[in-house]
Amino acid sequence: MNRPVAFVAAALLVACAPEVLPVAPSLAPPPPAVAPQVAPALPVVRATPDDPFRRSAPEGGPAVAFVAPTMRELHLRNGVRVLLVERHDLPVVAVRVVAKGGAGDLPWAPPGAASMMGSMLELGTTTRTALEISDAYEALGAMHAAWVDWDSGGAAIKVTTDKLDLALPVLADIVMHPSFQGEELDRLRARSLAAIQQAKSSAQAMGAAATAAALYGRGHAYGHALEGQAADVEKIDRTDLARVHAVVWSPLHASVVVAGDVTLEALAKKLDAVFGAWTPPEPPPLPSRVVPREVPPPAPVARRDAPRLVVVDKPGASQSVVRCAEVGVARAAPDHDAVALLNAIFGGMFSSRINLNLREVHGFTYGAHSRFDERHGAGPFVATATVKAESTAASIGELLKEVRTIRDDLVSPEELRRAKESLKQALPARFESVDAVTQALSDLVVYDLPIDEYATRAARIDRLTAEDVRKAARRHLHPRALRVIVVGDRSRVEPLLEPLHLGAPEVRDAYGDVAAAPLVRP
Amino acid sequence: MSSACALRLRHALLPVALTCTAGLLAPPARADEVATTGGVRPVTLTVQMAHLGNGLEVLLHEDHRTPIVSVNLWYHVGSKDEPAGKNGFAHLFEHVMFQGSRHVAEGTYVRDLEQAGGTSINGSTSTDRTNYFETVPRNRLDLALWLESDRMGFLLDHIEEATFSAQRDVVKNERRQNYEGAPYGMVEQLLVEQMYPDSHPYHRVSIGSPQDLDAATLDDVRAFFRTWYLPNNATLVIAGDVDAAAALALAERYFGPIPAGPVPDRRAWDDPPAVTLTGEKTLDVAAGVELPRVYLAWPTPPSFRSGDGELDLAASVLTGGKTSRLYKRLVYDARIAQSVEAHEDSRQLGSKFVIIATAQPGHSADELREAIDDELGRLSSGGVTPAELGRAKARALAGLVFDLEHDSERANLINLYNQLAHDPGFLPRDMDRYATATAEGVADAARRYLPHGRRVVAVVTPDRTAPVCGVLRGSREVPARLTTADVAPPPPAAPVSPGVR
Repeated sequence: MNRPVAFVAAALLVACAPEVLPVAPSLAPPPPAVAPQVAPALPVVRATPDDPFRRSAPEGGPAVAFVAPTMRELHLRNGVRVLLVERHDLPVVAVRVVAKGGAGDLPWAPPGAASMMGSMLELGTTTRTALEISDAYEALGAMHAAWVDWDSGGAAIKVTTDKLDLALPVLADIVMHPSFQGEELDRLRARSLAAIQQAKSSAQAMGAAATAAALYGRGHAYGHALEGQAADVEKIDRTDLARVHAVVWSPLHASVVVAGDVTLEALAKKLDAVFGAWTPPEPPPLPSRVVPREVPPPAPVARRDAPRLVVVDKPGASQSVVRCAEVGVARAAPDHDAVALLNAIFGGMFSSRINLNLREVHGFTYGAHSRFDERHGAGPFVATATVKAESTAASIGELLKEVRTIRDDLVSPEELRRAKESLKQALPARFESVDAVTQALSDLVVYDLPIDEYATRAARIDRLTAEDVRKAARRHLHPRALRVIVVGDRSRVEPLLEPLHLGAPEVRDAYGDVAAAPLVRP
Repeated sequence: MSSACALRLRHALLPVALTCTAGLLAPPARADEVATTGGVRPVTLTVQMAHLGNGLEVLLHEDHRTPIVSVNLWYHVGSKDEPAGKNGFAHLFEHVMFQGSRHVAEGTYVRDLEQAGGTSINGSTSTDRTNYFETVPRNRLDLALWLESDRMGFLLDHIEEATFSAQRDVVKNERRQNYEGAPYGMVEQLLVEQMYPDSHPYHRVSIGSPQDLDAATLDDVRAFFRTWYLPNNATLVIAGDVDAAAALALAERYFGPIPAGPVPDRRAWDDPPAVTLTGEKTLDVAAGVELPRVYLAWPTPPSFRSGDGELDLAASVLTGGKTSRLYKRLVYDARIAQSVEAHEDSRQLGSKFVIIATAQPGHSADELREAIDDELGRLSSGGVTPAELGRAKARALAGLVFDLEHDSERANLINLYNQLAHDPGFLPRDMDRYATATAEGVADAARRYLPHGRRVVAVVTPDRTAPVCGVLRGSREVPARLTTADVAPPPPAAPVSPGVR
């Protein structure tokens, strides 16, 4: 290997570290082509001096106060709100059109329709074909995507500064004039159906589907995968897509968030040029009252009589996916910050309670984590791990034990301090890339957060106490109501689960639907 | 190390051998570069280099955009350096590195970094190197260096049987989750085993085998550490909102006293002959998945060598965007594929070019393979259009600029350039590789390195009775037809293989 620096290093070794033996020149016959079994016995014991400064972790310099980036705001002539964070250190700009409303806000839309509408945006406009859109973006080296998730829709680009003027008209066109052309819809439908079929071989996807269905039921928007099921996807037609688009993707609900190498003055001109003609449909689309934020999805009631244990069979699986889940909280919950702190301690950080317990102490899993999926409505709370099949019951037992503990006992001052520091100190990294900044700006828009949300976050977290964390745990985590969802080899794991006294299992299929046939055991 | 120093450490305040201070600014964009990048202003990645007395390479990059600093430490050892019978050991060892050292108690390594606001805290093991990294607020650089240096200097004072076997369980769980339990999860291992001969350092994949992992002992940990985890076999990158001289002083404080040691002579296995396949090997793989899939793989030149960049561009021409050759043919027009993806997997001792296509329900892997071969033939004979080349270049060049947005990625990129291109400031030359590539060069690389008759093919067929990750059911080999390119001059009775199928 030709590494000039290595020779310099070797020369230094001889000069500066005389106790080190130089590597012996190889005079022996050619060695085998694989690495030797073990290192040769070392004639010199190397020891690093145990200097006093190594005894404890350095304290660090004065804390770096987080300064939230300056967010500037303007409105286009047609009322569309624009938020900008200027960053001129790299010649890069990210632009995202944000529609404030998603699949969870449209109870009238067929399952999967909102998501499919998002995917169709880049597949043709009234003047550009899907192939032309792709070529236009690719020629600019643009990163690009369009989607609809639970609470919002997005169409985004990231380009080098010199390409912004060429990319913006394409972005505006896909947002304003999608054609939902039939042949493209057929292509997308076929690929969506195949993707849904593929998910049947992913235990994680099966677990998520069963969780949504078990917690919310099929009647609720959150009771499905975002993409819907095969039967839903087969039925979605152009009318469904156009209706979702007309309601959500209107200048009435849209904002444009931008970060990067562009000034506010220049941006205003550029955006007015491409979005200026965007006007709300007249008359307003029906059903006009179903506008995001006006009718938030109903908070689902935990069905206390529902079976606690849900099993999805995956014959032959050497690992089980275990999930402890219940209906969690909405993003607008007044104790949002306490919930964030609670989750960091419980299962959010690597050094969280459940990861240390299941991974480090017991060796059940490669990793355990938890999350409150905070949406416009109360999304699911899930604590999950993929564990060795024989550890399925023990893992569930430990997860439930940790839930009880964090409700019963105050977290220690040390744990509280660590989690607070983690949340506060990680703030700067959340604004590092222009995409990260547009994500942060988008959250302000989608969840109606004040413009100083990030500037005041550290102080809000500082004020929280161990009692606040326990209150949040008691309010949102209920050991006796938590559903336990297991995806695994049923014949192997079901007998193991009996000692947990979770009752008879409800068996669901790969898509989360209740399966008819009980397990027949000899 | 030939470039002029753009920025020098002003005061040599340390008893440190400053052997080189290589600052590398991107040269002004040249005319042809402007044409292809459309005049984006040049980006720079200025790196200063120093060596400590014990041989530790220290690469410093000041990046004052965000008040954070990334520490990225590469040990120049990977799974390619594993002894026989110890496959997976480099990666298992990486896990052990997080368990504590003399002054860092069990279970506190990641915890202390998280508490300090650390992000991107992890390590990873590839065939070629093992890296450890964390990004911390700028005032906690000392914490990151204290932690990293303690495990470089004092790991063996802490390790014991219980934590070692717990980490072995974690790694086996990782293998179960990401390989054995993942759809198509073991196919790449099957490909690699066929592409590289037993004696090649890339014959096995980094995750290792359960048998070898079980056989690993604490003595192996000690021997591996003493052999490879030496300051003079490592490169420390500090990148971020710091003063380079101050960062170097801290590096000297924490790493300077760690003694160097003899790095094994690995010329025996670090320069294997280029892999030449003698024919087309087809593997029949059964997997408990829903959709058939085909993998086509070719051995290609090492990272940054001639042809490697062209193959990146060829991958874009084949599968980047909806009008790319394979996407348009298989997914868009014929609708026989659910997805298709191609990439040049660049590595130190030799890369591999891989095409992966997944069938739509009702279509077979063989259909995909036929269509792919047809398109590869057209690429070889008909070349690449200027528009295709322009799109591929735009994607590659913009991608490099986007990579610079994250401080942690800058730090890792500097280490990557240092180990594989032998120049930590390689960025402008990396951009140049793409900016100056020609349509003929790309087509030529495809012709030369992606021959129909010399490759490994895996045909994955869904089978409910097979494990989801895939299992080898059989294989066959068709010898390459000899052409004038292979044998010159052609012997009168060249053994031409019959049109075997």
